[in-house]
Amino acid sequence: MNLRRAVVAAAPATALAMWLLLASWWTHAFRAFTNFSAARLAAGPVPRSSPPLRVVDQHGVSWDVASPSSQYRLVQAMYLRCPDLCPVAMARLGLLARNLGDMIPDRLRIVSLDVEGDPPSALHEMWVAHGSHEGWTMASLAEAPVDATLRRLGVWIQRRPDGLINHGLDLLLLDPTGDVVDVMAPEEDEGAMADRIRRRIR
Amino acid sequence: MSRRAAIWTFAVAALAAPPIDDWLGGYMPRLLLVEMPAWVVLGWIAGRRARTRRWPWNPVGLTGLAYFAGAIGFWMIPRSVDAVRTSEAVDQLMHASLLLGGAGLAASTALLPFVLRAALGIYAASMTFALGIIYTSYRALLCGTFDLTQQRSTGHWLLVACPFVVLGVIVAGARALGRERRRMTERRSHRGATVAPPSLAAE
Repeated sequence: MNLRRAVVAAAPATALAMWLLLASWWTHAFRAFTNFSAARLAAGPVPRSSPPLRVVDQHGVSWDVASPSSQYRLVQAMYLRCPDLCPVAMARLGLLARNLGDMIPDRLRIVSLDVEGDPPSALHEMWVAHGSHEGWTMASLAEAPVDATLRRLGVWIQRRPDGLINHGLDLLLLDPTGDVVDVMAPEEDEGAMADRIRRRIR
Repeated sequence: MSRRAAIWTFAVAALAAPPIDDWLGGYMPRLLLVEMPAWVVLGWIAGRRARTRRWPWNPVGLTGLAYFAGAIGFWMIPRSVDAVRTSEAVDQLMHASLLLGGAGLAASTALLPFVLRAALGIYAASMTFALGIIYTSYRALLCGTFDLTQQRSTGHWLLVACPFVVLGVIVAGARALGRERRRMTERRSHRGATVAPPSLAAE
């Protein structure tokens, strides 16, 4: 009788606990409520090594964004047909470039990483539209499985049936060795982001 | 099968049918504001018959309420909303769990004390408002399989729905209070009749 009473009393707690356990597993212990943050977590903690990011830039030059260099690199995914989020993110990147003007291009390079394989001519047009900034590269990923590369980088991507691409807009800071040393969420304030990048580089 | 049961079965089959399911799930406001509530309502209708019965697993209605709250909370997580759109299995899981959640809620509300029901209503209204504000004003995408326009539209419709939720809570509260008052009056008059002195009864 007592056991039955205990089971009956535990029923509400069990119902709630079942959902809480499921939610905890699903959100990586309540740390990742979106696919973007889940991809960020799945890539591992920073600092971590970046996968090779072989690109063709707006001048038609091929190079690896993640190879050792004298500069830090600030990387963000985008594609030219993107209807709403990328233009806003690119405009914010422009503000960030102006804010960090004293560091660009000697110590820092901004790289907009095209995930749709847009040609250099189209990238060049976009680069000109954003002020032909010397320290701002717009480049298409030449890596064969682009999505796998982005996932390894910690950027979530999904190609929709209507042809649009939904992807993370995290800003990744690569140090001169090519390691990802910081990841900034796109909703962060530009001023705070600039301060954070300055602290990292100094 | 009764006419009501047939209509209910038809509604469930129609909502789960691929063309309607795909149409509802393909647009964020429709998924969150039409499809998910529709499954809860269908569950509620199914569970209405059981609402006066005291199930051993549902003492004072808390198990049904806990299950419903857990299910709603889980399917409100942006990752879950994305998974509903990208995985057929998760979509079916959402249908089943919300149907069960609605039934659990229907089986529980009549057993819950008025204060708890009122708290539940206030919580629903405040969650609708809070989600509306978040989806309208958040400048990054939360549900990755949709777009920012749909996210803002969902927020807008949640804010539009909010006064109706508040109104529903007030009406339900007023009805429950009215019922309670009637019951008390009846009880008092019944008690009066049973304890009436023989002289009065004779009159």
